[in-house]
Amino acid sequence: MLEFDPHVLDEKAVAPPPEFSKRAHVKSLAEYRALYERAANNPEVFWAEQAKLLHWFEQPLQILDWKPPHAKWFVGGKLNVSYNCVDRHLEEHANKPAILWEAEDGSTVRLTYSELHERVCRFANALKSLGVKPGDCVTIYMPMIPELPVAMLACARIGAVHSVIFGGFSATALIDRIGDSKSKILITADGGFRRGKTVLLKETADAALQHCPTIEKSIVVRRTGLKVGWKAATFGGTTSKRPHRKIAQRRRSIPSIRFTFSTPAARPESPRACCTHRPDICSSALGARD
Amino acid sequence: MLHTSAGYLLQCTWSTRLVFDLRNEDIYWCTADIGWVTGHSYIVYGPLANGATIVMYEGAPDSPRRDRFWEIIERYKVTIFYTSPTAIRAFMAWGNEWPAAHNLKSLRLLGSVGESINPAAWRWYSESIGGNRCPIVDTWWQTETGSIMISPLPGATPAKPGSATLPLPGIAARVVNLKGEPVAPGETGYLTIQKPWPSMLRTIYGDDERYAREYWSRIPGVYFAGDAAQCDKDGYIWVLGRVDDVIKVAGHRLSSMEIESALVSHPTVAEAAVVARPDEVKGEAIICFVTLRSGKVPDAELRALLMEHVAITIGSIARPAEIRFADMLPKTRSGKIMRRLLREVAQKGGISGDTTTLEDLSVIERLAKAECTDEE
Repeated sequence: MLEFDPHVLDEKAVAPPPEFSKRAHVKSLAEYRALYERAANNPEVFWAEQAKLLHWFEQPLQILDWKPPHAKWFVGGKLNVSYNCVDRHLEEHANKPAILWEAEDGSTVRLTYSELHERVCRFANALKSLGVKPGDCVTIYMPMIPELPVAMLACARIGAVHSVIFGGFSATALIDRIGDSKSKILITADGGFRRGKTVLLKETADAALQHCPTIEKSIVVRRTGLKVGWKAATFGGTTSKRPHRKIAQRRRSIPSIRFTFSTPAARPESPRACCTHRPDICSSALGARD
Repeated sequence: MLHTSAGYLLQCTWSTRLVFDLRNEDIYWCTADIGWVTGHSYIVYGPLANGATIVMYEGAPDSPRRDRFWEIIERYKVTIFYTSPTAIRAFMAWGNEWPAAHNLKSLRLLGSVGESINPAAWRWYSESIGGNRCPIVDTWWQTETGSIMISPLPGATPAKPGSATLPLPGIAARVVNLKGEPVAPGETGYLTIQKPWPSMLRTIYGDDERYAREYWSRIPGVYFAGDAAQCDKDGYIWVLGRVDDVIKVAGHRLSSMEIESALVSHPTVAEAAVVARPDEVKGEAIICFVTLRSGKVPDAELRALLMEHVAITIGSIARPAEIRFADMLPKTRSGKIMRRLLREVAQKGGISGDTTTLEDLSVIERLAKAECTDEE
């Protein structure tokens, strides 16, 4: 056994503030223990109850199919991650802020759930018009801007797999990870801002793409306004008064990309989401059925 | 790792609500980057599936000044704040005056993620940020687990600074020995999860065999988290650190193998071994042992060059704290680099224990004496 310094095992317990406990979802240790006990005695019943937190297009037929070490949860159930994260809040919380974003320079973007919904739908349609199909992998290499969660939710919406790569990673790291995921599409930005400096994401992505034969097109979000190599193309969206999003393409040129406001059928797709084998990157839950 | 939709989303949604005691009126801010799993689960999926209002910040905590985070909390009236021990230790080092200059009374709950939080940082966080009125949830989970597994429930579980406390309902976490038997309170064992959970990884993409071997075979039939842990007499779990070659810098997982590959991709490097050394701020620092190709001279310039090479190859998060040159690396008879010895050398400068399988004992002495350098 490795030796570790049990540095802190004699710490005294600090009780939760009574004011907090009074209003909490779980109010006491006894209540926690009862809950734990109940879950331990019948895990499938417990998780079936929790599953009601989500909106299902089709209820699961079986909670767990466990053939160690392989598990299938919520077998036969169908849902869409994007629908659960956005659409289902529209009825009651359309005008509630979903994302309060602040740039390093202090400028802000505030997206309500209804605005988030619109952006996610538009992005999802753009991905579809670029030929992204359920099960395809999309690599996302972006700074911390609102378009990042929008892109993830857009992938989820159409059943694509996303592999998000930390914006601090280098071209080499990008090449390895894109190679592992065999992504067809890269979503990046012209750059990002950190500690007053400009992070040249597009430049890094360009260097990586020299060695990524699977990538057919990349989408570049304007963040810094830097001049980057791209061919401007407009997302149609003629019914919109909003500024058009720009899109850059590699290898195959598409003059314009049709963009509609119709919500794509939130039809769940086969189970998808991957991480490569590296411990430090992850992508998750995109399509629907587990 | 392969995660799938329904189970992953469910446990993210459920744990966000339970662990952060989330309510409709909360303003929730997790400071992670979305590029890491924390951002996936606890900026995007968990909070949005709950219909929460999230704060998202583009830049660095010290830009333009060291009170940027506190300014944001004040401006948006953030109620739930989730950050890492590395960040908390940096805030501590920057001094109380930065948070003290801001009204942080909107906060009602604090969270910590990435590694176990040390008690001194816990106390500072509780007092200087939480005004001694906010519970702290010290959350243990991993990319593999998809979402939080062990954490206090803020209204229910008495906290012990440094302990992730008790497993969430439905999570069968146990500290056991290699035979799978529970260890006595105060004894170190391995953290395992005894039963499947909804957001568990499903496999390693394209490699089922490796998934079974790495996670479910070390201790047959249970999930092996790769963390050493202890359980105290109250059943509280204390996670002590990794037992494998994963290095955690500022709470971010880096593969020692990837850093080694980066080093040997440099034309001067013959062989490299990378280990972790405890670091006061970042949790762990990256220490590299390098042998050079013949004719190459180890000097400060080359050392700086190799550090830069790693930072460029992987990203600046992987920049080594130290590079030590050696004539050769300690290996077992089968040719495996003995990382345990290197770890000891990196941490203490000496070795102890069984070295009988060493090919060349003298190498250890030379390694320990090898001049080392700190990050400038």
